[in-house]
Amino acid sequence: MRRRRWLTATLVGLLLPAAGWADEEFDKLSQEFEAAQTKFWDEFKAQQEKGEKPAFNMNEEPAPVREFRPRFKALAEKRAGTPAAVAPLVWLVENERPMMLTGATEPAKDSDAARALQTIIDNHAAEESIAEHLESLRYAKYTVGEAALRRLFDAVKARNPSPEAKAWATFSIAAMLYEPFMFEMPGDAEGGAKRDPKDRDRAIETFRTVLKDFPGTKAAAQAEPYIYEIEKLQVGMQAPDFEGTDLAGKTIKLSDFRGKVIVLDFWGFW
Amino acid sequence: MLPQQREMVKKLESKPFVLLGINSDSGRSGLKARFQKDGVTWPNIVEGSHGEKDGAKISKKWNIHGYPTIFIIDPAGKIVRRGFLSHEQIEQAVEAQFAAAKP
Repeated sequence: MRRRRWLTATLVGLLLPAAGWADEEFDKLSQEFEAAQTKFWDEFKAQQEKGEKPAFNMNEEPAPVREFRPRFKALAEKRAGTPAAVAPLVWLVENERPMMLTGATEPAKDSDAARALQTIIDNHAAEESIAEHLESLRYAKYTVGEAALRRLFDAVKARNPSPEAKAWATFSIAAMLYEPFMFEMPGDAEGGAKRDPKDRDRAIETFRTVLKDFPGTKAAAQAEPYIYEIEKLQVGMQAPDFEGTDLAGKTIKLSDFRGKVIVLDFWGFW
Repeated sequence: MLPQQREMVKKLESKPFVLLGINSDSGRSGLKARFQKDGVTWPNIVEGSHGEKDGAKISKKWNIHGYPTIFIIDPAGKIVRRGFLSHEQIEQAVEAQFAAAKP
């Protein structure tokens, strides 16, 4: 959970300044929704801390999502056919209950999320401003499934005139292929996690395409460290050396510790 | 994590082991006091935050997806584990390395 929140926070931070379609009504609705969410989860936490049985259980949809969905739907309809419809449609895609919570093995074809995604594919894949939504949409694979998202990314690649948008679509395909390798999975230490290593090869080829075909785009800048990670930082590889300074200004290199077991900890107090 | 890390560093003092921190907090100036207060005595590269100019250079190059991210590197310099590991997982992996190094 923590990981998702961090990622989302980072993505929102990265993407917000690029938001091209100001829609005050959407912004206001989002703020209202965020406030309702915060209140809901704070109450849940307080109940748990007091040792009370929380009034909400994980088998149901959190009340704010259920209550706000019709409002986001109405806004998407009101903005239908214009680029401003995309933000509420994306909300609908991302706020469906994830399959891991519903126990479904296949994404539902008739959900609000599935319909919203199809509308984005049909009506908005060629809009320049779609670019800013693509990176966060990648995580909607838990609600609408990878195949449906892949259709969106392919549609943007094929029909969008903007290099930024095409680059993000290509980057998103690569990142989706690589995601199972991004974090350690149970069984990794024994070399036994269930994944197709060919996906990692496909991912790196696709990241390279982003650099080659769309140089200078934001997606290209983000593809670079992914290529480094896949080529240099996988389990079993020789760790590349780096250096930096400590609080006293003394240079520290990773290779200073050769011969020792190293626990390398990327951290902060925040 | 800090209390467990302090304990781990103390426990493995005489072993061929190092806990190497890459700290990505912003504002280098306040950190010294913070390190002292929390007993962070092990080596730490202080790289600055993602938002700072030239900050988080190693985190960015290593494509760190979230914090804390752990890499465990064996005495020959090979990456043996990588990811969001719990303290228990870290201890087990380190012990496994010591066990493997025994003749």
